Amino acid sequence: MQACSKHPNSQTHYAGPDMRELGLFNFSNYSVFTHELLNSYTSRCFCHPAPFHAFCRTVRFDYQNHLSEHVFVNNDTFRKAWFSWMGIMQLFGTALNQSQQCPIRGPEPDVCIADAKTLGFQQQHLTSSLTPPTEVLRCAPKRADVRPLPESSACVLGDARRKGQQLCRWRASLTKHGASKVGNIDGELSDADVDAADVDADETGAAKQSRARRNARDKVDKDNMAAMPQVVVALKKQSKVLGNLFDRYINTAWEDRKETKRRAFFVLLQQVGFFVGYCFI
Amino acid sequence: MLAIVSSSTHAHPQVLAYESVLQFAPVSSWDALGMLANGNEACIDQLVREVPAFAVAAIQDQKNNDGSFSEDIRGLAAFVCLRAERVMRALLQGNNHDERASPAIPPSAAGDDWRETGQRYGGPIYRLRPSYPSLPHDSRIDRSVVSEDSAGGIGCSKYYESYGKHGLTGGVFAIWCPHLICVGWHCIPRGEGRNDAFSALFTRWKKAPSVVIYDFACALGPYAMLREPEFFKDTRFLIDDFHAKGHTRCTAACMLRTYRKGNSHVTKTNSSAAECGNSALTRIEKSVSYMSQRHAVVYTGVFLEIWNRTRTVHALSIAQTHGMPLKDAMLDKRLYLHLEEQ
Repeated sequence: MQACSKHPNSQTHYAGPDMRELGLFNFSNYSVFTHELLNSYTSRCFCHPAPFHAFCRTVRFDYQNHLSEHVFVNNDTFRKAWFSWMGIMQLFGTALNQSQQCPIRGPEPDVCIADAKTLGFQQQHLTSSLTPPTEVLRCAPKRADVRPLPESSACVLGDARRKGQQLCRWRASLTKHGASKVGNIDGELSDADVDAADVDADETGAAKQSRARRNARDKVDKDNMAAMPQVVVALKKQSKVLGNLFDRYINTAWEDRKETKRRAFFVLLQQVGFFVGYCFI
Repeated sequence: MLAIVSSSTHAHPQVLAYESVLQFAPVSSWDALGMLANGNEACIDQLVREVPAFAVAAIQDQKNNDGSFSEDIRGLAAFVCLRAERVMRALLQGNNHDERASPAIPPSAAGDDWRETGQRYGGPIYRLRPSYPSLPHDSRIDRSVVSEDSAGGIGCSKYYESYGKHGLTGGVFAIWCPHLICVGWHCIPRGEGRNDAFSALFTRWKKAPSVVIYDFACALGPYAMLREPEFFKDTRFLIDDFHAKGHTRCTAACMLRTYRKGNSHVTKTNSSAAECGNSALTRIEKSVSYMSQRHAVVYTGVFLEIWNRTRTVHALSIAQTHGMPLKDAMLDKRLYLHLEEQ
């Protein structure tokens, strides 16, 4: 070992040998680790949850099994050694950040999928060096002219839009019996199914509940049909075509022959209606 | 095209959608909608790609009207197109800045060590995230601000669990390509929001992606378009198949599955790429929760590097063994089986 030229009087600054060609990592001139051991931990943490202390424990067992005279380093030392090793490793490629790119689409793919993962560390360890892209730097441009768009005009349709949307969804949900599905009952069940179980018995609690739900459903259906003309008028005031299409396809009773032809318009009007009045923050 | 559309519509300027009409009818669909408004049958192919709901309705309308489009469907196309154009114009009016006049990236930001900053992306930093002082709560964490649209919320009923539990930081925000390669990630100090997706894309992409798949895409679209409409005007924000079920109030226009048949960009896209990556990241979740910031960043970075390398190396091996192009090997089933084995 040689004393550091910059710190000749220091007791701790010594330059030791780089033993890379021997497959060794010189951590502190006193502790030397094999590349094999360090890589072994890297592989394990990739394949399954592998805390440092668990890995160190298995290595200690190996030492004991081989009747070694030496003891393996403590958990902290191994952890520090592994992070030091990772600090000088370039795992993949030679160019900076080459590992962060798709071999087909490059570093900035045209289709990308974004998501977050709850992979956090203790907030008490947060330091000011952490600067995600969301950080607004002092020298960043200031765009004071970007303002929320006024939503007043969108609210002109407010109630009519909400009601129109609701009616679109309700109309699309009608079953072949011409009524909507009974709330909180599996959609596969028809009215006949609901009644069948209690034909021979006194009315049970479940039957009462079914009947109540069915009555509630009938009332909603009736109210929705009654609300149609009003919504049509409101829509026509704002847009003749929107009102016409709503009248022609949504303001209709169930008809077996025509339902398939109408379905495309249910979807279209739902989508058009959805965006009316959507506000920005 | 605006002139053609304007002359054929009776639409009241204030009726239709506000900003999110651009989700339903993005700039790329305006030509097709204009053609439909003028009764041109050649619009169908483009409509299938861009606005599938309009395409299906237009085809049905043709059948109902002996091969021609009805006045109503033509009027509706004009109506939507006109509205979209007005909204876009309004957005651009507030964004008349020149990107060339933006301040240069300071060398300190461009050359920072990812181990310290906690952000690692494949490309360089192209822009700085601007501040928008006129937008209230511009960079707030908004995972839990879902409310009725009339109350100033985002109008989507999907409810998100709050991040940053048990005194932990918000986690990691990652961007994946459809081949399950992580092209960038950053640590979230407090909690995830649309700001993370917006800022990452705006600062690290030279040209905005054409499709962004995100579990909160219904709200990310308006968020991004309000701030940077010029940059994101050709981008479509879609909700992946896995998260679509939770969006009970969002229509099919926001869903990836709607565009699978017609849009070549997303036909073969594995929308669960991020979920696959996230499930793998679960392996280091516990370890990271006990680490210091620097160690957590390095540990996460190493894990994702190995993930990318393993996937690429295995795809190369499949390509060589079976004599197929690498791009096909990256989507090969055997690669997914290999991942499951891991």
